[in-house]
Amino acid sequence: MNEFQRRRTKDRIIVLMLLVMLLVYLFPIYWMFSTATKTLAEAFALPPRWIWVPKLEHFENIFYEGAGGELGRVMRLETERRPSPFLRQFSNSIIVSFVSTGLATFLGALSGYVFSRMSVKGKNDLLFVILSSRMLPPVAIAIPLALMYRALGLFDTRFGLVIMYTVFNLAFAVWMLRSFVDDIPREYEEAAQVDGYSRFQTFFKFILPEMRVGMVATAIFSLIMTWNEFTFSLLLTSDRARTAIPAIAHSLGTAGVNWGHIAAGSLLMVGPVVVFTFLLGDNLIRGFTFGAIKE
Amino acid sequence: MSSLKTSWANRVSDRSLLYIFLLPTFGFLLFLVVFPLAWSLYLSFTTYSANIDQPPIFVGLSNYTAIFRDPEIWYRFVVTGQFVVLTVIIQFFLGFLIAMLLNRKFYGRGLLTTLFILPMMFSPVVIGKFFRFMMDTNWGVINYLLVGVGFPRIAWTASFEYALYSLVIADVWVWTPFMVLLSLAGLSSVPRYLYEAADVDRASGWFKFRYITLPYLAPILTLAVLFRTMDAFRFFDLVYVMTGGGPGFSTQTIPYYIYMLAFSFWRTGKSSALAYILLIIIIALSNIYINYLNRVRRA
Amino acid sequence: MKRLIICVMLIILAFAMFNATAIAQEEVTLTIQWAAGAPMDTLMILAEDFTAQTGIKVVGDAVPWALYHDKMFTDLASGRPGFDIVLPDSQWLGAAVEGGHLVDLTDWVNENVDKNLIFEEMLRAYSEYPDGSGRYYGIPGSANALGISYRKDLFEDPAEQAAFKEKYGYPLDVPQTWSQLRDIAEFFYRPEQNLYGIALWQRPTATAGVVDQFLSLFWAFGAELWNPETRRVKGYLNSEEGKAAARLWVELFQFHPPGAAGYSVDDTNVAMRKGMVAMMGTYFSFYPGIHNPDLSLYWDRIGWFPTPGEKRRVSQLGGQGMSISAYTPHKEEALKFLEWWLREETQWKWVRAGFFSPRVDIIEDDRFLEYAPPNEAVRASFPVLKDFWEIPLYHEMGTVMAEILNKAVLGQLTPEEAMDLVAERHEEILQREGYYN
Repeated sequence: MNEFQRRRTKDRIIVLMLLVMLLVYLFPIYWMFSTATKTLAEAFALPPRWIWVPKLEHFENIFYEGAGGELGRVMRLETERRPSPFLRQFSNSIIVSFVSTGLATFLGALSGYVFSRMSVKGKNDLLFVILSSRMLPPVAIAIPLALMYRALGLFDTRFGLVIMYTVFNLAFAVWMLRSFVDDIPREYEEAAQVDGYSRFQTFFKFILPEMRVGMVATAIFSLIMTWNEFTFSLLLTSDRARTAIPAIAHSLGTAGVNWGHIAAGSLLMVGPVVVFTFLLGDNLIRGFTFGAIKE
Repeated sequence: MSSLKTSWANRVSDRSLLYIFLLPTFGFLLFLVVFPLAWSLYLSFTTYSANIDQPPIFVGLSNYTAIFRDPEIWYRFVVTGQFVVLTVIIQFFLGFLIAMLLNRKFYGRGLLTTLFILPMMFSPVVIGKFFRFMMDTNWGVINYLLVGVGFPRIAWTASFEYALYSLVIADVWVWTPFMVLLSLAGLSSVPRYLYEAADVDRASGWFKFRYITLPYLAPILTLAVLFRTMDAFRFFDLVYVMTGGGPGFSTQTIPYYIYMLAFSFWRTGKSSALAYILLIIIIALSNIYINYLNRVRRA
Repeated sequence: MKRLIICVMLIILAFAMFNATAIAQEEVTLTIQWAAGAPMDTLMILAEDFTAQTGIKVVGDAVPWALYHDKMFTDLASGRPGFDIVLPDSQWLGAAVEGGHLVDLTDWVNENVDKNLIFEEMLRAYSEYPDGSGRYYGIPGSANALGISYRKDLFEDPAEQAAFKEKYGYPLDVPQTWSQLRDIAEFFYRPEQNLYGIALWQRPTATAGVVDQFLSLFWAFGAELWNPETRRVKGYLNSEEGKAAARLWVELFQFHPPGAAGYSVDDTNVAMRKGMVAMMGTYFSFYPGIHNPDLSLYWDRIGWFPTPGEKRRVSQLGGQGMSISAYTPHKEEALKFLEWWLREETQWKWVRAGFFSPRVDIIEDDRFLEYAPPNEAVRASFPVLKDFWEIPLYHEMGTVMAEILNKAVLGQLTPEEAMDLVAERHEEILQREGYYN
């Protein structure tokens, strides 16, 4: 067996290992998918139905009033199906998450750069202050925050949520991106400055593009955190600005929990994040393979 | 037009660049973190109920002393510690292993990576609920599969032996991808030429790992562990939906207990004090990590 | 200087952005906050009648059940809730009133509500605070009580009946006492057939857990939570009656399905739908899934009975009252809505949609029995309701009780030790909050 063949066998074994791990690891998602496309009676059946006719009614029900279709049916009253607030909440989720992710990543890149490259008085203390925003249990500041939001008129506005979530992710963004700027060789920007670029220009023209991988990882993570956040979304909004997760997470009808509804809802909710990750993730992978500028 | 912009950009001095770059960040932090923090620090020295319209009564340190004297709160600290240590360690090794395996060229790597990161994208609350469903003693699919291969049925979320582990399993499932993602990002920052040079010297795989990969990865891995530790200390969603703190109060972690004190018992003062104690613990732990981080960064 | 300018600009930008989102309101719209679900959806449909009659619009702020308590109280504590009318769970009343969050309706209730038409205990539990004070802060909203459903096919099987008679010396029927219920649970406990005696809520939480269901047994044994005058707990909660109730509760646990120590609303429901248990305790309002042929294997073979007696017959009250936020600018319109809600016509529509009314005349009318399977048991339960503490401390006291009882059923404490411990902890809590001064 020559070197090349050995390598190939090794790679194959590794891919096989990965696939086996993946199988175990993704089982809950498979189960979620099966619950979302089965009737509730089927979902509870034991031994489990491994073959079934997929039904889309749980997905459909999300768009209509009633906390979970058959479990919360209005009885003996003439009524047409009314649309649920899901679409509005979903668009709130999109706006709030993407704007705050963009903001946090961008601000994080700025601060990360400063903390990595410039001498700032009390740098470590400032960095620690930033980090501390991430340490306090959210419930501990929920009450003062809610009071403050009412007083400032930020309650139930998307803007209010955007700044909340931006702060939520800033600590991570700053620390992550500082670490990435650290890895970019200094010679690189020094050369640019010798060429007559100001620091400001150097940052936008040369450093920012090099931070791509780090920013993508930061953005993906921030988006996920924001997208799925529900404590503040619930406590800081009432009707207009609420995001979609709180409604999905707790679907309890008069007949109990509608697992199909929850499963369908969470699959539906995960879509945009998956697309985002896949699109950017490609970038991430390319970042790996090109090995950036360090060669 | 572009020359104008260039000239403006040219005039930005280093000092003002520093301010322009940092100001928004600190503005936001001041606004949303410092104020609530100061407020709850004040409340932690008072007897106060946010639900009742009466001014806080200053009681000095008595909230803190009451907490330190209460053996049941100590018990909750121990449970929290067990939870954090278990989840972070498992996530660290599992996530790193998966990232190492993924870190090579093969067909379908992008898809595989995305699939491994997938669990993190689901809402932890929903996942918690769903794990509870799958872990049910009688109609849960996990027990069905376990019994199928000859294990006894396990009352996952409802027994003193397993309740904590069911929380750990769900948490590991959701957050291992975080470790995978950060490890992968870290691995990408290792300059390729170092490996090539090592190959020329016919260095062993272990040597390359120990002296090239690890040193480059150390800062970002430390950061990943730091954030996982902080988050594991703060969150209570899983407890809320999976065990409700039971059996007894055996899985009431400190953040869950803070939540109950604040929102169910309306003891805002005591909950603030406990939150501060937790904060101090997290700060102390973070400092250890950060010292380590600063060491590896200098190296 | 530059710093200052940037600072000012940011603040201006911030204000501009959120001011743009503020919406001016002209006509009166009442917002009602309640838990999301079929009752809320139904209320919103019924409210169309109200709008047609008065021209006042009604919109709902539906909050998921699990988060409803926190959301409602955070909104109220902020002093600017987004709702005008709210339906708090009965035991939340004290906390909401002591916070000064609800409009005092005493005069309005005395004038507009015919108290003879409302079940006495409901008016007390949903509306009056403190108990016996004659001060009202709401009206009964969605009435509810705890009951037990059972597998009719098992109970009515002649072979089972004969075997039961032989073993216990009396005929198998709907139990009249908890002791009989224990025998039936034991009789049907057949793990090898995947059939268990009974499933009751055991989750260690103050609501939707062990407390609600244990109390229905506890009341029946003649025990009391405390002395309402002195507020002393020792000697009441851990009296001989209380301990006897705890003993039976722990004994009943061995006839539960495995893993039942975490059971709450949905778990017992599923156990019944799958036909895994002979009997199951829940609030009556959770019947729809059990009788739904798409969900339930035994949907047409399930019956209901009120929680049994022992020394006396008492049912644990559930449901929500309907109150007005103290911060509403539309108090007059909100009062009109309350008046409309208790009207006979509205209440009939409500029971026709499968829910329960606080009105005696409707519950006693035989037409009521047609609308939902458990209605006969509901009719038997409503006159003998009882509710637990409504003081703001209820949550802490309930949680302590739940945690300790949960330990007792799992064998970490004896029932007697558990009750003594609960009594001690309750007195500590009441002492701390100054109830003994």
